[in-house]
Amino acid sequence: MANLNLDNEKDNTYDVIVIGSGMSGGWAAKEFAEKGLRTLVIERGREVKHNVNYPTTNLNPWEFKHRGVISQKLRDENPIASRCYVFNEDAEHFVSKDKEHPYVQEKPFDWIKGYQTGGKSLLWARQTQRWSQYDFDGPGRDGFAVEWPIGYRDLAPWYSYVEKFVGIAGNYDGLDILPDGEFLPGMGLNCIEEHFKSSVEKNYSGRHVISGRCAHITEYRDIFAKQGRATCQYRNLCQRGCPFGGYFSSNSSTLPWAMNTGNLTMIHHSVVHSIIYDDKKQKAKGVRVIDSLNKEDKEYYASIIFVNAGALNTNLILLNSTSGRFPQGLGNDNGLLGKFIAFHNYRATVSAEYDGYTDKHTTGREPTTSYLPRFRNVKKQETDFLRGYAAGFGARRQIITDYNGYGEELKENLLNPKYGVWQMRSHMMGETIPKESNQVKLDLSKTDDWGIPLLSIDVDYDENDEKMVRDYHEQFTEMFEKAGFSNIKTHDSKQAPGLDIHEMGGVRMGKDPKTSLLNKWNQMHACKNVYVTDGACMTSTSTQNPSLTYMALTARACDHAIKESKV
Amino acid sequence: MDRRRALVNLGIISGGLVLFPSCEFSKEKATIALNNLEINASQENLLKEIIASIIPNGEIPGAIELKVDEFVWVMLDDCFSKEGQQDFLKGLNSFNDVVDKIRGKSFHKLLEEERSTVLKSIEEGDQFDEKDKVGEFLRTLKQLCVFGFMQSEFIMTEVMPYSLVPGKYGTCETIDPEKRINVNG
Repeated sequence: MANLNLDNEKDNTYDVIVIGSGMSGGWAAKEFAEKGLRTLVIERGREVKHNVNYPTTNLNPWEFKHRGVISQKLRDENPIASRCYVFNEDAEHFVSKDKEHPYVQEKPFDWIKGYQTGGKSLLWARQTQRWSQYDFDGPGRDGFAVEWPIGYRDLAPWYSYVEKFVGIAGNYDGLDILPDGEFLPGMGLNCIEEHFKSSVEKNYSGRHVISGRCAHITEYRDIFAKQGRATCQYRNLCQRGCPFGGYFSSNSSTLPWAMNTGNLTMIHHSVVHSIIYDDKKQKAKGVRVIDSLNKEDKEYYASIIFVNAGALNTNLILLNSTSGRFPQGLGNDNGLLGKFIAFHNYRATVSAEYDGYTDKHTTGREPTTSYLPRFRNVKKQETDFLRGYAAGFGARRQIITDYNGYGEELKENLLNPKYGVWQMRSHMMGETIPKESNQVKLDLSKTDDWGIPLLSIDVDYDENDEKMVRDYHEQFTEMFEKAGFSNIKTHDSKQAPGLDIHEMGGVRMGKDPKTSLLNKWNQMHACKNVYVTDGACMTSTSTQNPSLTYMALTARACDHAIKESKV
Repeated sequence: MDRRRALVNLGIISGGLVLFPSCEFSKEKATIALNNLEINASQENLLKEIIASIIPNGEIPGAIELKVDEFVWVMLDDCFSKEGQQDFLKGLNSFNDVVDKIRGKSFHKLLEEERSTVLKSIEEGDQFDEKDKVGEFLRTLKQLCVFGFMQSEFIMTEVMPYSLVPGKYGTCETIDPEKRINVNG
């Protein structure tokens, strides 16, 4: 019996275990496998192979039974997932259903999950703006959360490293507030967006309009061909999985790359219960996994463990990893694990119309957006709220169909629509301030299908967020007015936190083990062979879409782990 | 935009009362196989007739030729709340009574032009008893009909072509005033 266990232990031992195969887990898999480490990636969901398991990717609109509309049954069963913008007939199979993993909402929180190979990297909005030093300076300068242990200079080479492999379309804008990266040709602004850009830059100093940098291949490079990826075809159907590999996902890029090295093993339907801590060796020795299909327990072992389960699930795993040494969860000596959760405020929008450029329109479909980097409180405190917001926006030529009449009249109307004015719509991406009261913890009274306590989420907006919404509404109204737009309308969806799908923190980086969980290399202060490089590690959120930063942090942490393991 | 509007409209269909099946309808089974609803051949035929009048056949095929009637039933069956389904069927079942009240004969016996007029007056009119749900039924049916017609293969390939692989994004193209405006372009 003892021998059998030993054999089992030997069979289940790897150099590295990566928990999660999404945006950051895929990068960990690639980095380690490429460097020759035997790597195990544990994915809780089902397998989704690039171009094999994209069932809707080549369907025309009329080939969908309900032309994109979600059935009443699915909507009734999934009130949370239904609020997600990609939860339509073409991609609902990549959004986890509400009953698949319940959680407790102390306050309303829409937790959107993608339990499959590649996680939410299949579904993301692909915006990839770098952080600048001004973003890293936030908490230190403004006195919230804790100081970041790293700055732009630490991350810049890793941004470049990641961008060259991912493929980022963008223009060299030369802005200190939003550093340039390794760009392929940008996707460009349409005439109204160009018009808005010149108006904003004429009327305001420190405000800029750019074409949003995005993870789409716009020009051939060998490195993309080696990944089996081709240039973006402007289908803008990314959420279905792209047959061209035109946008970046773990499925199309990092995971097959890692698999080709022969060093990657991937298991699916495997829910991580906890990380096993070895009290004698004073480090983590492996991972306890529950097979989600047959509910059997299994253990896997490795000397390096990367936790990339997605921000909140990473918190859940660490909180559930209790031991004699760590009764409150792995590495949680200071009791701060699960606290200082933050997110992005996406509640506010402003729409407007422009009566001009009447002989122009756009053709094809644009998979990115125009972008206005943060201009509030960038270099010094200027307003009565902390930090600021970036905004995405886009313009399109309105086509008006007259739905009046019946019979021949209606048919004529339907087949002969007319051009209307240009319509512009902007959405806010606000920085929220990480606070101790915004937290997640385990609800020990309730367990999921695998006997794991449910995560209880207690996260809300505060007065700073309300002020920022008002300021965004005012500033965009003013900018649109100055650019000659009319019919300007502000809107606040009041959507719950979570629907931004940018939840971050709980296992934050910092300089001091007393006030943070991770050091500057994303290593747990108190358990050095465990690294956290997904959204959970974020000390503050700034305003940029975070995936690019997770990828850069992951590549950097992998490099550190590999170097340290060789010492 | 059409799809989004249809989505919104589908979502706001209000709750209703109880469905009173009309005894006029035969028990003959409908030809379309649905998952949830049970409908009979009379309902199927009447709906077909109304749809044929909403978007008639012609040089460009109409709703019936493009099988929009089947699409309407599928949407009603799968994408509507129970209340929405009941209201829709109630409106359908009362439809001929209301037409009879306005024109003194059933829909079937009206000429094409008369049909358009009566549909318009039902859509706009509030002179009918709210309980019969006919106005609401017709407005919902029209939305579904337009949605199914515009999103049909024929319209999206022959009239306003949808390109699955556009290949490029034109940021600022000059409009050709001679060309039909393509809502899918």
